[in-house]
Amino acid sequence: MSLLTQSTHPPDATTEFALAYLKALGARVEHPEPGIIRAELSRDQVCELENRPLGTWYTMQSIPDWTTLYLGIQDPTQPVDRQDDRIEHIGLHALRLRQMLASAWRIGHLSRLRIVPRHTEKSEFYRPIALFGFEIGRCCSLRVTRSCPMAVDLVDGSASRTLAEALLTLPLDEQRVPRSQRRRRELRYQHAFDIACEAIKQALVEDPALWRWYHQAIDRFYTELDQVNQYFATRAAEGPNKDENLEQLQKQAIAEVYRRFQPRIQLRARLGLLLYCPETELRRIE
Amino acid sequence: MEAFSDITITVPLLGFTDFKPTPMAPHETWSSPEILADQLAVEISQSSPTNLLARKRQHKYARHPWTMLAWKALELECLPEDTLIAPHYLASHWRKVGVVPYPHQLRAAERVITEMGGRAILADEVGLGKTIEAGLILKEYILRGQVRKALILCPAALMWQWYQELKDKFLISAGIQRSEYDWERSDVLIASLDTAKRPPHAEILRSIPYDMIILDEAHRVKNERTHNYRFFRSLTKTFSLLLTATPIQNDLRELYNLVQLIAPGMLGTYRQFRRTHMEDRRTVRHPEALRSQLERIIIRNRRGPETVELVPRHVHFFHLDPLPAEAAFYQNLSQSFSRGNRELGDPIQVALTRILLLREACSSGKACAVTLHRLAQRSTHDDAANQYTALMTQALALEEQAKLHTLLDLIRKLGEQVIVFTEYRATQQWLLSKLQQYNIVAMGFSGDLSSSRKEWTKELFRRHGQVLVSTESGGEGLNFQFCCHVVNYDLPWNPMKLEQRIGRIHRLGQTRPVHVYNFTLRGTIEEHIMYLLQDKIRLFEMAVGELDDILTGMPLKRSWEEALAQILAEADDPSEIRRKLDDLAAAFEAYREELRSRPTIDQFLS
Repeated sequence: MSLLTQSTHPPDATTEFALAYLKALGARVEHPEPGIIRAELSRDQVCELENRPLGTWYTMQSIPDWTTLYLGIQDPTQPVDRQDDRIEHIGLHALRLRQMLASAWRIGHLSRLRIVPRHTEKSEFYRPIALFGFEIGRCCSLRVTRSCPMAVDLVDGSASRTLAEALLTLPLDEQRVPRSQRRRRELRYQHAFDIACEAIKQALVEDPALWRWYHQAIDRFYTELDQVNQYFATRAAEGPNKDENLEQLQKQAIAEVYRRFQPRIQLRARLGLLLYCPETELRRIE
Repeated sequence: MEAFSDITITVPLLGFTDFKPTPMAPHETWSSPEILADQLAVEISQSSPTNLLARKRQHKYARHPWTMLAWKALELECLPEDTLIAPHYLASHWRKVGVVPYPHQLRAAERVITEMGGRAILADEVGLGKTIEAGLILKEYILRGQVRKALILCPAALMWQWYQELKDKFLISAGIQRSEYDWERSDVLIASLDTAKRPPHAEILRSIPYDMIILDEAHRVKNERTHNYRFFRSLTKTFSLLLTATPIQNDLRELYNLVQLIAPGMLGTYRQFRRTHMEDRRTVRHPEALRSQLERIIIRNRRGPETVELVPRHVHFFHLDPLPAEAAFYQNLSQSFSRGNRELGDPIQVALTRILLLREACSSGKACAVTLHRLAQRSTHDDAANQYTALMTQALALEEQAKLHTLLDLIRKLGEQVIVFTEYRATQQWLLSKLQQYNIVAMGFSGDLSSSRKEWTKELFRRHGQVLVSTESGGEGLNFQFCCHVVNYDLPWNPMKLEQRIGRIHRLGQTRPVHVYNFTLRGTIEEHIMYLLQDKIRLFEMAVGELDDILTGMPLKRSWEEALAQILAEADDPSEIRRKLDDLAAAFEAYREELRSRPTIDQFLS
């Protein structure tokens, strides 16, 4: 599947996420009415959700001991029969949801887990795998992002996106793997990150969706650039204007076109997961 | 306010806490662009793995459920290409604060971002919400991590309004520029163009690469020979928005210059533009051809069924006969400050004081008493001081008023919420006490209230009040669309102030017809003012924005208010006053005609 295809989320994906988030945070959650989530959060939990500093005088003054949130599932841009000021929308891109996403990222962006083996055998060996959660940004005049997991085997340095996707569907736990059962890590993490980046770049080059976008973007870029260059060439031909430094103005205009329209890709590792995967499981996936 | 001590109103002081998306992290470092293929460059965040590994070194690993949530979060926070995220982001907040974006505003924001590449001239007619469109575009870019450093240049008088709009409607906490150190301090900064273009500010600004610059009242940079134009052109910016309702005022070159500022070369050189598009400096040669070019850079929405049509405004006039005591006091006051009275000092000063006191007397005895008391205290002559004190005693004794009776009748008859505007604090306080005597739930609103107190009072009025008595400055920047009756208890001399009073309720979001009640006292100075505003310049029939254009551009030697004061101070005879007012109105009308004859963008861009 293309790296750049817009992923579609099921309609209740955000609700499921919000419920899981609130549960993980330890909030008291109930459904007073269909389509509405009522959550009671302590001051500390509100501070985490809203990324406010804990324990300051201002925080203590402005946040009550308990805060009740009413989270609505329906789309607020659609007319609703009952207008309730208390209800906050948690659809895709809603402020409250983005606060939850940011909070979940802050807490969970680095972890070390084990894939639960199907059979508990003492002889089972585990391979260390670095899983990176990448954000791929397509930038020209509008920045669009997609997420992409990438797994790098820390023993042999192989990178695979499909492996990363498969590993994330398996049951995980926090149990430490005894040193005697771990394969020796041959790669440093920074090296693994570089390998992952190379793999993503390779996948991008081979992605037809990227080139469709790129050709459109680069056409626009060149049109704008030509327009600027042509204008300044004509201006120069029309005769000098002592009040204006055409060369400098052209340089500035071209720089603006580059900043605004030049297509480029931005890669950023947002998540890291050191995973110990049983070798039998790995063979099964492969 | 004692009467409301038992009422609890919860007004969120902070509202939502906004958050900064990760791409805006200021310390993020990127690798130098690496060419992937053809011209496509790839940049890799160098700080992102370092940040992850920093946590690893501290052995701060997340628990299992949080890991899965974080991975899910990464998927959910992807930025789409086909929809704006700002309206979704702000939807709940907008519902809370009562903001309803109009479809034309959302469309405009979407076009600027998806089609125009983030640079545009927003040229909607006055009152259609250019600020909302600009705020929406700014917010969208901020949420997408494309704008971190933004500058808003506007007239100094609008800086607070911008601050409030960005804060209240878009949860953008902007700074207001006050010193040369502020330029670097705030990510989003509001500044006056007049300050920005002066040294040392101009040099500092030229060294800052802005992600976005918004220029409000952009017609101020329409002339390519001006310092304003050259200064704006010299700024480094990625995205830029020019906001003006009048991209052309006199000459098509003004429009060319504005386009040139944000898209150099889009219309060719000026010679080419003139040859291709201009018949003369006010006439377009091929409107269709120009339109197709301008549509790529200008958005112009006009009032109408597809955008916004303000609800009708009904104006009611109450020409009242003053009560005998009022008439006697007014007469007494007028005579005491007549030109012949040399005891009171310099004749010009006396004439101006007379005008001031007569205006106040039309409002209330209490308003007049305040000034008389001040005059008595300052006076160095005993005779004059005695005269002031006697008048003050008479003013304070005026407990009943024709306007008050009419107001009470009106409030009872309407049975709905009413906003009463007065120019004077003393009148406001007196009215509040009188209304309370008559068991009417009234509250005061004035400019010295803090912004949170204003919000609190507004909320209190919305939920429990019947009458809000506001001074001029009290209502500035606040909207009371839930109410549809405005009483002008006294008349400001500046028509713009009158328009601003009415504009508190007659604006976007008002769903019911608006009623304006003007109170004037017969045989007083107010009669002349009403003659000028209603009979001569037909103020209440003017289109929104027209008055502003005329008053700001009208070639008067002094301000409108000063011109009016001069007429009333210099002329004794009512017929002479009328004649001079007619002259002033004729100048107003002539300028209005001149404005109408100028080319407008609507002739070729609709």
